[in-house]
Parts: sequence; structure tokens; C-alpha cells
Amino acid sequence: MSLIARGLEAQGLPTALVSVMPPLSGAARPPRQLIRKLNIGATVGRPGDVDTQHDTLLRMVRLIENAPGFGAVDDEG
Amino acid sequence: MSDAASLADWTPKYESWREKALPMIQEGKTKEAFGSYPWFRTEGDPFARLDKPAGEARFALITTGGYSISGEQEPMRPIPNFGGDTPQVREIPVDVDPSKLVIHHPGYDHRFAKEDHNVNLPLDRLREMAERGEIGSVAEATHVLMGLVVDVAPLLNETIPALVDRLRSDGVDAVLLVPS
Repeated sequence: MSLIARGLEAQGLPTALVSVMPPLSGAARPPRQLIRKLNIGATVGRPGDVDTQHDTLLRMVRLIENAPGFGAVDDEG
Repeated sequence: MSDAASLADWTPKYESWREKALPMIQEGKTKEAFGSYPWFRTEGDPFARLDKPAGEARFALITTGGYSISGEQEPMRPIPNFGGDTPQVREIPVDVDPSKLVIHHPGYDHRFAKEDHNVNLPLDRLREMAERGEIGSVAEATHVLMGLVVDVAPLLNETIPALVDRLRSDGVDAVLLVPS
């Protein structure tokens, strides 16, 4: 997924990647990454947890809007 | 170094690995085979800026959840692309009937996703965000891939350029990437 992020950004499309496995995703150097302590299989938020799902997506949007440059990471949990 | 240039360094390492790994995988020694997998490493800092407020921008979703639409699309083949075949992509419309979604992906437990697809295909949440003005709109198509892309060459050379073209044709300004 990090390689897709890099490829899209190289063609002018800003991206944000959510990761629950930062050692794996970070090794391929995504341009913007939100690190969350969530489960594999529920990387946006657990079933029915609307608030967490929304929070994940809103933080990804904010990263796209506000990241100062390559390698931006939101790891506030 | 661009990702395409890095690919030239990586490909011989991958081909050497594949020659040794495939017989091991056929013997069921998958974990042992992937222990020596040459992870793709690259340099370069690609970075694109959003040229408008998020509330005016069109957002697309890409997920590696392994989804397809029952009865309308070929199910995902739950095998990695060892042989240079192009990664599979399915397009899920933003107004899909969730009851028609099926998952064929061996790499994660589908329990959460079967209970609520928004755990890794959060179309309901994105529509709500568009209604609240937190984003401008949601792209017509979500692009679904499989997670384990063993041979990254066709991903870089074919899949990503095709995704860029498709996203552009959908008027997309920014992309949210959700792994499974």
C-alpha cells in the first residue's frame, strides 16, 4: 500500500495511509501516514464504532490538508 | 532514485528469491520461504499538495480488503502474484448494496468486515463526512486490491498508472489508503 501511495503522489495525487503495522508500512516510505492502535481486519475502527471510524478518516483528511512535507506521520494513537 | 529505478536493482534479487521460494511454498514451508523475501526498498520523496480545502475536494478510497460484488464481478483469487501477473483490482461503486459484498482474502480475519464493512471499506463514514462538509465529495469508485503483492514490478509498471488514470477520470483530488 505504501508503494501505491508513493506512485500516486509522484503523479500529483495527495494520499494518506492508515497503518496498524508501522514497521511494515514505514519501511516502504509512504508520504503521509496515520498510525493507529487498531486491529488487522478493522484498520479504520471496530464494527459499529462510528466515532473511531470517523476519527480515523478525519485525521487522514487532515494529514492530506496540513502535512508540511514528505514523511508526515500522525501517531497520536 | 525513483521507484522505477529502484525496481532495476530489486528485480534480480526477487527472481533469485522466487527460484528458491516457490518449491518451498509448494512443500508448505511458506513462512520459511518468506523469511528471505527481498522487501522492495526505494528512495525519493514524492509529495503532492492538495490545492483546495478538503471541504471542496473529491476523495477516493483504495482498500486491500479483497472485496468483490457477488454475481457481478469475478471473485478475488486468493493467491499472490508470483509470476509477474498484474495485481487484481475491483471497482466498488459508492452506492453498492453491502449485502452483495463478498471477501476472498486469506491474509486477515473477515469477522469484523462481515459485521460492518466500514472497518476497512468505510463508504458510509465517507458519505456522512461529505454531507457534513468535512470533505467535498466521495469518488464514484473505490478500488479494491489484495494485500500481498509479491512481485511489485507489475504493480509499479501497470497497476499504479492505471489507477492514476481511473482516479483522474473520476475527478479525484486526494486518496485515502486503507489496508486490511
